[in-house]
Amino acid sequence: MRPNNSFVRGADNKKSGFTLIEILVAMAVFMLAISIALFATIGSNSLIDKANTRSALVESSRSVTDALGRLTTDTPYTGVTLLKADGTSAGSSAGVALLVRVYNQALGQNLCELIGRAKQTTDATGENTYTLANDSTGTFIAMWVYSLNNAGYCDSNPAPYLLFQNRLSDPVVEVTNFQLAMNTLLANQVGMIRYDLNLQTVASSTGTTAEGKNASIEVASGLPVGLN
Amino acid sequence: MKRGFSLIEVVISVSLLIMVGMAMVILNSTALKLMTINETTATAYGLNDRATGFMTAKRHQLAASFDSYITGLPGQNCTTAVGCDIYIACPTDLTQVCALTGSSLKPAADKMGRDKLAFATVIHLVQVNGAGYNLTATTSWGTASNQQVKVIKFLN
Repeated sequence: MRPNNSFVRGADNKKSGFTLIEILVAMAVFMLAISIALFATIGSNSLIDKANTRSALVESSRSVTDALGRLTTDTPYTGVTLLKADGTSAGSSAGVALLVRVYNQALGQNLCELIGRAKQTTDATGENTYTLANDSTGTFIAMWVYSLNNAGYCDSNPAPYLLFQNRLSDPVVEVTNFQLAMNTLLANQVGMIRYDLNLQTVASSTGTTAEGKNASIEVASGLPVGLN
Repeated sequence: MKRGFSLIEVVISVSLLIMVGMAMVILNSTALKLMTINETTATAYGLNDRATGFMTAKRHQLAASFDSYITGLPGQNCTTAVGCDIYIACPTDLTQVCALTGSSLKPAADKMGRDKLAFATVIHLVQVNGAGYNLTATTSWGTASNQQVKVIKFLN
């Protein structure tokens, strides 16, 4: 009686299964495919983050330019004051904040509005407060709305009369430069406020160019005053 | 019996993998370029606003003598009835007033941003019915049609 073939190793039996080389090649190809898929997923997420940050950069610059434009529209030349970081008038030199006295239709009274480079602090109640700053701590552009002082003027320090304060630039964006200056065309009547605004993203992203690594934006613009 | 992959199978597989990788890289760089264009456009709009703002203030300052001022600019050879091209040059020092020149005296471009792109602003002014002016400010940072922004304003 012949033994069962399945239990006998005969010379005519073929070897089954993969060789070591085949398994190694298969694993290498599989790892490569997984790496590419992983890279694609992580790359897409990084791209979305980058797009959001850069969108915030453009939105911040637009927010600041829109606010400055709104404040200076129909504002008389003498209703505009440029301030230094210490709150004193910048006069004919460059300042870091724009102070305008505006009439508020809803309240039926004059209000003071101030826009400038500011630093953010958090008080004991957890609320963010802003103060003018023209150094590396001044990473925001903020605006303050406050009432006139007892003498009927806009004080350079909004704190005692403050009604509202907020930031105009996004927290993922930092201000690296903000300066304003008044160019007088007709003494005490017509002029143009020139300003430079430089913003850059706080979070670094992994781009391949210098621009991609840390996006920035520079706006050099001007607004006419005294057209009313 | 021969086993394993043929050369053509290996070549196709490797090509597919490389193409997927290249597609990702191209997508990444295209998206970055699109995002950078937004920032460049914002800078150009700022320069356009500066040009229109200055022209508006100048119009208020000069009133009736505005027209003779425009046609008498250095390097100017036009009438506002036909239309004049005007260049604006603003010094880096913000306290200095911008200056206008005629079409034959093109000033140096403003180099702005981290990449120091060269922005040039040209203002086209046409008088309308002797009452006001149609102002078109165009800021460009290249020669292609998508490398410029335009703002149109009426000056009373």
